[in-house]
Amino acid sequence: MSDSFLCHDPIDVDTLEGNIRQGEPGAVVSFQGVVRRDRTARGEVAGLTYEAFEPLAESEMADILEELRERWPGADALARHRLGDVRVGETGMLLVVTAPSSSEAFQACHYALDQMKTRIPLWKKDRYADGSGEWSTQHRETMLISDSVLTIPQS
Amino acid sequence: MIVLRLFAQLAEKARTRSREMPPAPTPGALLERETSLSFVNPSSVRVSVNGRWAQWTTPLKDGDEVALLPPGNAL
Repeated sequence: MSDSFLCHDPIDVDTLEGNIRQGEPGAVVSFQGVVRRDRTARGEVAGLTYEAFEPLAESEMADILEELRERWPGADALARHRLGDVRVGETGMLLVVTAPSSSEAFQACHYALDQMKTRIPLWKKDRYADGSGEWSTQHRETMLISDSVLTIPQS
Repeated sequence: MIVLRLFAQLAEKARTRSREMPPAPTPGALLERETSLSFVNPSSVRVSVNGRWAQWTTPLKDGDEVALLPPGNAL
């Protein structure tokens, strides 16, 4: 399986989470950004199209993960993001953070998400059933919160 | 020559994702000279040179790749 941040194929969440948990951490925070069935003035969103400036997105993501490991010793993380067309209900983004404790894992996860929002050159286009589309031009922090799936394993 | 790369809404408006352009001293000078890119607002668009973040005043040399990165973020 590729270690690249960006991928065109569906994200294998179970396998990736299993891989990073092999180090037997005390806490795992797993975040998924899921394409939701949004309704806008133009109609119901049928899916999203993601586009990135790939070289810069990959290098920035590698830097963010390295910073995370330096700030929270013992923590580790992986991230994946889809490119191209993604349907409603599919995972568009996965971030998994492991750490010795829950507080460290949550803090590190928030740090990575905040950094990704400002540093990763990645765009999304709402796609509608009639074939039209519209690029998003704003940061949508509320989507990150409402779409989050956070889990902490029992220690 | 300079290779110019465009993304998302900028690529759609320009009807191209990549084009070769004559050299310019900076990305800002490139944008100012190219009237077909007059819709690009440098105050909201970020710029990269050779895959790294750059400024509109970053010096360019022949063969450089300039990427114009529009506002918006998928995250």
